[in-house]
Amino acid sequence: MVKIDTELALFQDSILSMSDKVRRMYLWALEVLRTGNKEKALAIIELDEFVNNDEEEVNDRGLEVLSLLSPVASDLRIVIAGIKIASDIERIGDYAKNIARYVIKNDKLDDEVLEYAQRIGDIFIELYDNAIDCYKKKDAKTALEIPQMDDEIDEAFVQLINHIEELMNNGTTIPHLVQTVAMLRNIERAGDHTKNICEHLIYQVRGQHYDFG
Amino acid sequence: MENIFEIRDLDLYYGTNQALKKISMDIHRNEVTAFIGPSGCGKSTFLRCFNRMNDLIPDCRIEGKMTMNDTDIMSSKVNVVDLRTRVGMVFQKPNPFPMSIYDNVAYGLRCQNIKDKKVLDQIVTQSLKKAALWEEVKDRLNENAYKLSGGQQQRLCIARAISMEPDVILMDEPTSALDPIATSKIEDLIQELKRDYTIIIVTHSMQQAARVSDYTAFFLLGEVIEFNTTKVLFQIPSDKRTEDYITGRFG
Repeated sequence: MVKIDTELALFQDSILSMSDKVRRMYLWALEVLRTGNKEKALAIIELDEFVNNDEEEVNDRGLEVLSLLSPVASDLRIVIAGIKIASDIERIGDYAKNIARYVIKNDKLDDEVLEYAQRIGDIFIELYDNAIDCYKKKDAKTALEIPQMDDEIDEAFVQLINHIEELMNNGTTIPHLVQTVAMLRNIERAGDHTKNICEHLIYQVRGQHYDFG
Repeated sequence: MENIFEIRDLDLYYGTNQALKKISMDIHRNEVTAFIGPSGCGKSTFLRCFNRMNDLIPDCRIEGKMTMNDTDIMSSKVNVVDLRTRVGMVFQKPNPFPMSIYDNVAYGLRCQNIKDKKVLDQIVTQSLKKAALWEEVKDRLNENAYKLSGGQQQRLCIARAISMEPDVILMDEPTSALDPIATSKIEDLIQELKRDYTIIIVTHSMQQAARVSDYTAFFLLGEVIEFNTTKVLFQIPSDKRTEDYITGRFG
């Protein structure tokens, strides 16, 4: 094994370890949304600090490989794509943190709204797991198919907004409506960043830019 | 893009040993083309075809086609001295002649019976300027060239090649004997020179090929495995062997 292989393996490990933490943050965010557990919400916010540090570590490792080992071809793409993937994972962590903040400041959601949110969250986790699995296996072929699942998330989000509108038309008041919709938007936006992860992975493996739109 | 050289199915043998196998490529005018590959892969042998330097090697036999500006340069009718005037060469180790800086650059011109001092002065000055050496030597043109540093000697050799107003400059690992600063000066110079000349460079430094060349050919065991723009070859090589070599996983 040449030195760059060892360094790139460590680089990829840092990204995977970061992705594990973010997965946990997102699952906890869905949980506290259900339970309203403010302590656990605080733990999510704390974990986000670790994720931010992880991203810096990924960047530092990437810079080290670039400056000391002069990677080219697929090695170079692993570093470039990895740095971008880490940035997208970090953003997903931010979304989980935003949900946690909402839970700390607000009361529990309407049951039906919660049900929609949970559904979006469940689809997201499946999408995210598949994307990270592709990254682990450097599987560009599957990564090409994954983003179709993001359409399901978008569709579910539209249904959720329609439901909220319906509630309002029926005279139901939703407290802190703007914050609530913004928070729910976070659940959905995480899907877009997972789509980006797939785009970066396809670039890493094939050297082709791919835009899922 | 205009081709200066066109090479088709070129085979080269040292006795019974085939050193180059079915090489075909086009070399574009006013571009820098780099040849990379492990030792013994044939890149320097191929470079020597461009100015018929292999003629000097006994038992060397070449088949196939190589044209320069549509003229067959493999033909026995070609005036080799004339060809080497148009296709200059710079070697791995700087090889100035044991004479003054001025006389080094004027040497080729004098061989061509150019004796007019004014003409010589003008071409020597111009060549040293083009080789980015003028400022460093203008006050000591009569000093022995051996007093120059290695990097300066190499630029002097480039000036000597330029003085003949060639179309092409061949460079066989021109910086492998130089320190990083002298290397960087030669690399900058290559960028300047490509405006006026076509440059073909053999280098062991892949980073150098990536920095200075527009096109790169990867050689392995006498074959061209991949020939493409330097950008593509170093970013998305299409052959696994190229990828393995440039990423250091070869062998």
